[in-house]
Amino acid sequence: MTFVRTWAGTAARIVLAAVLGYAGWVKVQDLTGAGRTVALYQLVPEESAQLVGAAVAFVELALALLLLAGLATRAVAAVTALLMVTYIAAIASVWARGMSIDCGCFSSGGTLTGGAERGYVVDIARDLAFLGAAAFLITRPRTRYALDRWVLETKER
Amino acid sequence: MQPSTDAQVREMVHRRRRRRRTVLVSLAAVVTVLGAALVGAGLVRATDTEPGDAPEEVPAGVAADRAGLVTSEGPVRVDLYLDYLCPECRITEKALAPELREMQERGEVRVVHHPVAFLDDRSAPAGYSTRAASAAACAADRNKFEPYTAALFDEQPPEQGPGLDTDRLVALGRDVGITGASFERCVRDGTYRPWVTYVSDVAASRGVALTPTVKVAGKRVDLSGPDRAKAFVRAVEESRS
Repeated sequence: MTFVRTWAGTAARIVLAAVLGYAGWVKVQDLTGAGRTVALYQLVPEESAQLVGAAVAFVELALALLLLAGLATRAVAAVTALLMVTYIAAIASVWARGMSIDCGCFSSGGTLTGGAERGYVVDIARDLAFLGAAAFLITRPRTRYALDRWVLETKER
Repeated sequence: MQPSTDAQVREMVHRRRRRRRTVLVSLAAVVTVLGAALVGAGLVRATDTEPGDAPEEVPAGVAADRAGLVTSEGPVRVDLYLDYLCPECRITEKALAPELREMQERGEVRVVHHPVAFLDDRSAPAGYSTRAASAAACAADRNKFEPYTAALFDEQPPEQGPGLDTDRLVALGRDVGITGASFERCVRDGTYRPWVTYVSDVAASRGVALTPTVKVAGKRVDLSGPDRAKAFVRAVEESRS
């Protein structure tokens, strides 16, 4: 059982790292677009949207690198979970306010003319899956090929 | 329960060390993530306050800061930030145009147009927003910016499509009464593309991230209500009193 869990945790870590790395990388290429996407949600004043967008992009990249390295897995997974909860809340709030936008999760978002609801369901479901992966890592932070093994598990010699 | 053997003491010390190490590494990781956020925000700060210099070629009627087109003079300043590809911008332009024209005729408003290209990646091939906006700047040289803008919105292409082609952009100019070859040359050469980029950068640096944005006397007008024209007229009246 432990064997399976360790590998499942490893998979969760790598998948999250890949997803966040890709999302962050896309946003870093177009920081103005990332800021515009944040503005679309109308949750922060438009003037600060640029700053938030850029911060999110770099946070995603940093989390991806830390997850990939397997450093401080539990803390990093907790921050990732927090980020996912924020994303889910943001999409839900847009949906509740009857706005039609593209979430901009892996691109720069925009205003949609139709089909936004379906998009929200997919986006929230996907973020819930990532949240689940992060939660799994919080409970079982020990995984294979992680730097944590070397940093934390030093035996007295 | 007190530890009784050497092994138990060693185990306890080991655990305590491990815990401390975990806390330190976790803190370091969280600080790294926060640092990344600061790097991102700092990068935007550093690049956004400097939109660069205005390009050499600017259309006739450009504002003193070269980041907008002035089409009328008056005591109340109205700034319009519209992207020719954005559907909401079309709705806003159509809603405000009649009121705006009357105010302009009465000499009440100084209207500054900012034809921004925020949605260049929403056409295929990319760049329709810039092409349309720079064609509109060509029309400004013939004093036809506003009718040409109305024509562009009348024929607004859908997002993710190719947009109006260059021939159509030229033909629209003829439709609004532009004669002569210089307009066509201006559209085909994309003379004012650098200017459109400049206008977009300046708008972004002023915190305008979304289109449509309408400002009256420097204050954003809330266009989310059912009657945009009414909200706009109220904003103009308030800033006059």
